[in-house]
Amino acid sequence: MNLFGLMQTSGSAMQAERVRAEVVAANMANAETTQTASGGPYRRHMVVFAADQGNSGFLNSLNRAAGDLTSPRPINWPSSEPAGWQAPGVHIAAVIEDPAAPLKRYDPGHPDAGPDGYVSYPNINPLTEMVDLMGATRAYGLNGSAVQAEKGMIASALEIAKT
Amino acid sequence: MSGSAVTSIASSMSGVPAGLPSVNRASDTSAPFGKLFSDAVGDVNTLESQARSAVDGLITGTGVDVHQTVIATQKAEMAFELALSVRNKAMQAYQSVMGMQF
Repeated sequence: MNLFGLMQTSGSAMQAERVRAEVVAANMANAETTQTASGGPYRRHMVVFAADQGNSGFLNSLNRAAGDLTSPRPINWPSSEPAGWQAPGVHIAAVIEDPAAPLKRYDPGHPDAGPDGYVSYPNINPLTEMVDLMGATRAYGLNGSAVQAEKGMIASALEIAKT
Repeated sequence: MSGSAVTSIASSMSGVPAGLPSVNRASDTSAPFGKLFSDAVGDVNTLESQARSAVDGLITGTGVDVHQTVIATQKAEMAFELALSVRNKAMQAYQSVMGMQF
């Protein structure tokens, strides 16, 4: 694998977690929004994570990096990866809307009340959103630790060169 | 023997900067040492300019994320340290060769 492949992978994961946290923040901010540009109440947004295959897929890259078990892999300096090799990673495939029915509260005096007097509110549970935010924060920190770990590994490799 | 030691150090250390995103240099294992070193310096330069543009993007608010900037700067710093230790080793080898009495 590329010397900085791990950093690229973790960097993409941090990016994806940041987007997830952004979406959660948007949900929490719009928890009481009854008017949107497309009509109707705000709908809870959710993110879809997808694996970035890189140039050859996670499994293939790892297998190649680990070496073929049937035939010993020669130490081939410099790296045998072709030019333009992309590290595998994660990206947000889509931000989708929750199709669940909105919450209805009875308030005939509200400007957005329907003919039956019920107002549609977004179906956003603040506890769910907070837990999601905690998850995104933890995952962000996790990937940051992975980057730091690789920094440490490279630093210890450089130690070999010191006298 | 000392000549092969220098070239073996040079070729083994050029392998590490070649792990950076750059052209495959499988054909250059027997190239002169100067070309190997200048390739490593070119890689460092590329990473350095990437880091600079990332920092600029972060400061001017054009959508570069903090973690992207930090990762870019760390990559540039590590590549530089790598090139520096390559250079130090080469200087050591050169000096030990030059220090030989005839």
